[in-house]
Amino acid sequence: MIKLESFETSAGDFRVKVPELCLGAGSLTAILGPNGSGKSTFLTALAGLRSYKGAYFLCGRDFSELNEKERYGLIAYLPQESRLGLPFEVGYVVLTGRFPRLKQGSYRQEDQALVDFWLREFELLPLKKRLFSSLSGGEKQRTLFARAMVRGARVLLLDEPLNGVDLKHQHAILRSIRAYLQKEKALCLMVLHDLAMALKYADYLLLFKEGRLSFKGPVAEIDEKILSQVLEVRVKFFKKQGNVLVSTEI
Amino acid sequence: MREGSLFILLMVLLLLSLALGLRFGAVELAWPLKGVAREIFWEVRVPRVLLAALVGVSLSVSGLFFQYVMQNPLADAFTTGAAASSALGAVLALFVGAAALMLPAALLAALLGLLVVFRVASIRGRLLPVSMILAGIVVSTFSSAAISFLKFLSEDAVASIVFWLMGGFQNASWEKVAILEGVVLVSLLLIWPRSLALDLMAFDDETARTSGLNIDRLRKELLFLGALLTAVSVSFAGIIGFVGLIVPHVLRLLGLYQAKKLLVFSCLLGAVFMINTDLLSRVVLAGGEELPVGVFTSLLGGVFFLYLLLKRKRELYVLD
Repeated sequence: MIKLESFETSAGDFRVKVPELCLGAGSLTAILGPNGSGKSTFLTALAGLRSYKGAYFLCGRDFSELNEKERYGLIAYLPQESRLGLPFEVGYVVLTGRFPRLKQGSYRQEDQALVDFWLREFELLPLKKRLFSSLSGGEKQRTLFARAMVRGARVLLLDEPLNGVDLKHQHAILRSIRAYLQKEKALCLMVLHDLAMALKYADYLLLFKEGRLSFKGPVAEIDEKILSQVLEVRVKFFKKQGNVLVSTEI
Repeated sequence: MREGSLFILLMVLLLLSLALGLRFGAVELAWPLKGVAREIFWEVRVPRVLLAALVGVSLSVSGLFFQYVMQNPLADAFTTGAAASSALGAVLALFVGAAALMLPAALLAALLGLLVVFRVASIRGRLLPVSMILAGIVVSTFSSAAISFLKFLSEDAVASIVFWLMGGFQNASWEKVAILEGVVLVSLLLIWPRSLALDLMAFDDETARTSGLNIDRLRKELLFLGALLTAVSVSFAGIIGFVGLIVPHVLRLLGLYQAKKLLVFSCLLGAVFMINTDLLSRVVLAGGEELPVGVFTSLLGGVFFLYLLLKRKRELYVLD
């Protein structure tokens, strides 16, 4: 679904290079790496917010040839930090995620139904009529996450989407994302800092360090050594009843 | 309150305000109208009430536009400094003796002021309300000082602007009504089909862009139309502060949040509000003297602004 060849992008003087990458449908890909390693820069470039060099194919089409409506019908992007400057109800905030999929001048019944579906998935339905600004940090983040999901996109680009979200909802959300990816044959790239979550839910890992993609591969292929090296902490795996537990220390 | 009943209520209030505004004034007219009274009614009172209504609409709508551009509900022609800078433009045109160029000069100056405020308030795609207010204060203060300086330089020529700048509709005419009506209609017709896109502008730029919105273009259009509405209003009726802040705010307190609804109801409430404050300014002093209407709105606006800052800040905005 996403195919990159000698892809390069930059934020000021900082360059991020990905020589080659091919990500298929149905997989949850976790992006890990220290702060300032280029994860967000990479994600914003994929989202079309930064210029890039090299080739970038999205669902078999050259990204640079897609217009805005086509791009954001296919992609849903959730920035690391969002801001909403005017008061809106939670339900409407989520509904605006349907904007690039609009066929006529107004939202329709099916858009509303999708909003209700994702509000329910993220346990936000009781808050539907509340003002977004009156929510707690974690609730806001879940609302914005739901706003990204309601797009019905083939490719989800999520930058630390679980920031401030409680553990219970982290698990519930990641479960429902996996179900969505399988059902819609979609692809999700997600920046995460929680290694345990990444190992539990992701199929595929991308590790960034100093602007370079230093590892790409299925979760099963990752070992303690590479992780320790990239994340600059001592990583240890413990296998217990088929689960991999992970411990980290400095 | 349901929107339908609010709409009906505002329509009734509008008709009532129009009737009151036409009925009362500095001169008591004898009905049925004959001779001079008839002339006063058609050439003074009717255009005055209509101009008040249109200025109310145009300030409310421009306030809404600025709120979407600046991504916060505290923006209006007054707080962004657009009103003051367009007044400076108009005064400058008067000062050099080019009264015919008043409107274009006011528009240009308003755009310049807005550009400064926007640049100062915008930090990496996020517009911070506090920086916007501060930048607005700077632009307003600078413009007022420049106007004072020009007044000082030319005592006679610009002396009459003192009263005009305080805001009022005493110079209303059918020509002004027609021009402002055209500007208001064009602005509304241009923006109305994109009211869903307006709502997206309330998000940070990255979110708005990745929702398929061409934010730069819409922002430019809104800035231009907002500046145009402000410039024409200021040229015709002086600086009438806070209307664009109060009207959309009251509507939001009533539970209207979407641009589609805010646009419609701001027009109605803006007209009602302005007709009545103008009426008040005409009749409050005994003996036919007039208060500048800007004095009223600023008094009201000041108190309202304080209330917002004290009571509603957590609910309505993040002043980060």
